Formats: sequence, structure tokens, C-alpha cells
Amino acid sequence: MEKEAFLILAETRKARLFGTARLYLGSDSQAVDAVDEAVYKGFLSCHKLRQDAFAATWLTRILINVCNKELRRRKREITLAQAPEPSAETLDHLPLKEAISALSTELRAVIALRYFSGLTLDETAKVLDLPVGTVSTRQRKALALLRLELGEEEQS
Amino acid sequence: MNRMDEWQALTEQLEQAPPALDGLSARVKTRARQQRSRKILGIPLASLGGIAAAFVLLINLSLPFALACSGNPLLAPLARAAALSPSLKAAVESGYGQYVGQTQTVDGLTLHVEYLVVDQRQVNIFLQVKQGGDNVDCLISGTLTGQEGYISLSGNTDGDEYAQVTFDFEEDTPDALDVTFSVEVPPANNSGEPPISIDTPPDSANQPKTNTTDFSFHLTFDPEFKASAQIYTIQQWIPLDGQQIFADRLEVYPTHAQLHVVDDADNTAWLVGLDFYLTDEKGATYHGISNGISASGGTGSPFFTIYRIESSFFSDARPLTLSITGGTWLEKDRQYVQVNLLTAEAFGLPTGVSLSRIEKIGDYTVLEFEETNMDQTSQIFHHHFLDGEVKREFSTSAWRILEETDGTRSITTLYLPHPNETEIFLPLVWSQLLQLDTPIQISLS
Repeated sequence: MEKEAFLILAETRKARLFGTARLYLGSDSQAVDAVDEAVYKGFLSCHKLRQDAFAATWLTRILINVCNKELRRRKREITLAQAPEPSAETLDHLPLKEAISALSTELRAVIALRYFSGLTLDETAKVLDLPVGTVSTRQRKALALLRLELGEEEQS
Repeated sequence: MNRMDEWQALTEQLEQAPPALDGLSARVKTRARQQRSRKILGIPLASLGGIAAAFVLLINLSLPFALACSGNPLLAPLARAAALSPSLKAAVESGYGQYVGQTQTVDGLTLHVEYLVVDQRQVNIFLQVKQGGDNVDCLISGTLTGQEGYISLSGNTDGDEYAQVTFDFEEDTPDALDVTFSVEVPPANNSGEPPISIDTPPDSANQPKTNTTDFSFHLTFDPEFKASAQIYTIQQWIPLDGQQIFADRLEVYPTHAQLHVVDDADNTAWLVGLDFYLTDEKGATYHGISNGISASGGTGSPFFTIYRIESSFFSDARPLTLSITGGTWLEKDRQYVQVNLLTAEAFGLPTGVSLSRIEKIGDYTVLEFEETNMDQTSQIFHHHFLDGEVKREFSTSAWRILEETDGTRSITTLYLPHPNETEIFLPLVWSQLLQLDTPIQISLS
């Protein structure tokens, strides 16, 4: 893919990328940094993309990797013990944004990709390198915990 | 507000890109121009004989001199050019920039050597290339006359104002350099790499023809900018995934920091990549270097002895904390991938890498490898292969590597001139990746 075409794609998708990173990382500034880093990495490698049609999914995957790397780096800064998955009752008392942040990384990833990056189940499975069935299971679980009833039409 | 109302509000909020993402494309392009993350594997630091180049010397405005950036408009462009390298930015803001102002024109192409940022181990040179008054997209490489013990990294303009060429020195930076810059200008209408697909193997007809022009300069440096490094003694063995390395010391220069490590001869693998960063007392972090090479080692072993990251030289916040988050290994008993060309089997591939295709196309045997670890951007194979039991070596001039992605995996395609044997051996750059769940932290004071 040509570099200029890649940047046009990145600019048109930056809001969605930011939304995804924001849910992942829980911080506006870190989400901005993650989008910057992901687009930069994509820019360096976009010439290797075999088909332009893959570009959006590919860029999203780069973003997820950047976010995961940041989460691993921050792991040592977490002073609270790593808690098990919170219950729906616990999450009920939190604003939705905080409730999503309280989910495990695995569930949060699915919510971010399915409902903020606008990816299909298949595309989400490819980005996360998971079977479609696993993604579907995690999606159901996350929505149940958040008390949300969302279908395909609710995707942003 | 019920949950669906919250959902609607959150969706609307996150659909808006924040103002901080304005200028995203411009930032990316400028940063890419300064991207310098090439590792040098086992290549001895080079020395050169004299290089003759015909040139016309037009202007030598002045010897380099140093002034604080904020007070000197001549250095303002340097501040912009260095902005995306945190170390160089801090160095320039602390008065480490030097204005050169030397210009030459050869065959209508004009090279301006504008600025330097120099310390005890590195020289960063900022240049402009113009033709008819307009900036030219080009690649610039530099070589030194009468100098040993250095590695140079090329720069390109890619539509931006300045290109940056960096020289990293094994010993102290000399007080002056005789530099030859080779400027490669791609032909018009060249969009970059030639279109190559698996069905059209590379040959000389596909290679882009570039025009190269040489310029020679004599550059002198203000000795004021060779302040001694800050040295942090570590002297500690670090266990890493069943191996161990000896972290000897951290040397912090104005333009970069160097972590010096030593191998353990009893290790079953060589460390060929190290993921780490520094944190200072105020919480500022210093990550991978963006100017100069990222690692270097001697001959005789793939082990890298020096890793470079951004510098904390101008930070008053000490002590520092070194955090190691992962590494890349080449196992001693897995240095080669053995490929049977008849049975299409490959033995000894790194985890996550598979042989997906072997095919004869024209004069080439084509091997295609897939890798699912999208985080790993280093090349898998060296640019040569060994042919059968005799293990004759074929260099990159005889073959080609094509690296692509389809969005979910990386694909490396090797075009090999038809080997005489049924088995070939592909030397690996790495065989194993390590990612630590909990970083190893060492306090440096």
C-alpha cells in the first residue's frame, strides 16, 4: 500500500482507533500515544501489505499490540492485587466507561474491537488471533457483565 | 441514565478524535524520516581508504559555533529537525547544536550541511538537498576518510526539510571528520520498491535505477560538546529465561545511552535483542533510540554487547531504574533452518514461523514463510544461504527477500537461484522471543 494512501486511511480511522485505545488503556493521553505509535509503525511497513483491503484490520491489530505492550509495561505499577473478573453487580455501580475498564483485558478487547472499531466477529478473531467461537463467547460474557444488549446494528 | 443511554453517550464521545490527534500524518512522516533502528550484526566497524570525488566548493560560511537554541534563530530549524528524537531535542535545547553552513553543488544538485549535534560517541549531521531551489527526495549515506571504528546510518528526506546522517564511534569522536556524502535520487515516477509478486521473481530489469552524486566535506567540532558521559556501574548478572547476561554499566551521553552487557559462555543461546527502558526519579521514561544504531557487537559471535536507548543526560532526576521487559535469542543449536526442497519440509524454524510454499518460478526456487507474531518486525533470515553438504555460501547478490503482510501474518518470500543440492540451510537471525510478564528492574545510582 502506498504511504500516502495509508495515511489517508489512518486519518479517516483515527477517531475509531482512539476510541479503541481509550477503552483499552483507560487514559486519553495514553490512547493518543498508542494511536500515534500504531500509525507510525503501520506507516513504516505499509509497503509490505499485499492487499489494501486488509489495511484497516492490520492497523487495528498493530494498535492492539501497542496497547498490550503498554499494559505489560504498566503492570508493575499496578498496586492493587490482580482481581478476578468482577461481577455484574459490582460493575452496576460504576459508570459505563469505568465498568469497561474494570473488565479483564480479554473481554475489554472484544468490546473495543466489536463495538468501537467496528470490526465483524471474523475480523475481531483475526486481529486477536482467536477462534471465532472464543470471540463470540467473550462478547456474550462482556455484554452480560455490562448489562448491555447490543446487536450488529449497535456497532459504531 | 440507564445503561443504553450511557452506551449511546460513550459511543458519541469516543467517535470524536481529540485535538491531540490533529497533525497525525505530519508527525508520523517526520518521525519516520528520523527512524534509525537498524541493528548491525557481526559487521566489524569499518575503515576506509581515501575516496576521490570531483566537487565544486561554493561556500564555507563559518566554523561551527554553539549558541543556545532559543536565542539563536540560526538554530531554530535544528530544533524542528531534531524534535522527534527526545535525546537530540534535549541536547539542542541545552545548547548542543552547532551550525555548520557548508554548501556544495555538483551537476545541478546542491547539498547543504547545516547542523551538527555531537557528543563523545556520536555525530548527527542534518542536511538539505536541493535542485533548482526545491527540496529533493533522496537517500543520503556517509563514509569517512582516514577513520576507523565507526558505523554510519543513512538518512532520507522523504519530502521533509532535513535528512539526518548519523555516525556512531567505538572510541571518542574525533575533533574533525572528512565525510563523503553519497546522495541517491530515485528516478521520476518511481513509487519506491519495484512491484514484485511471487510470480515475477526479481531480476536486474526490475531494479530501480537511481542517480548517485558524491559530495566531500571537512567538518570540525567544537570540543566543548564532548562532555564526559555519566557512568552508572551495574556489575550484575541478570537471569533471563534460563540464560543469563552480565550487565556491566550504563553510559549516558547527551545524544544516547549505552547499556554494556557481557555474554555467559555457558548460555545455550546468544542474546541478539534486548527490550528495556530507563525511568528517572520524576517518572520520565527513556525508550528505544531514534538516532543512530540500536545495538552493536563484535565479530565471532551474534551476541550484541552494546544496546542503545534514549538519553537521560539532561534530566536532573536521578537515580535511574533500568527495566528489562524481554529479549530475542539465537539458540546455539538452532542457527540454521534446514529445508528439503524435494519434500518441502523445513526443520528448526522459530516458533510461530512456518514454511507455507515451495515453488520453482523461472530461474528461482521460491520459498514462502509465514509468521503470526506481528510484534516481531526483525527479519528472520540472514541475506545468504548455504547449499547442501558442501555448504557453499550464496550472497544477497544472488537472491532476494520480499517481506509482506496480509493483515494477520507476516510473509517472507525468498527467491533463491536454483540450488544444486536438494537441501539448503538458511541462517537465522533469531530463533526465540522472550516477553517477561514482570520486568526485571535494577536501580542505578
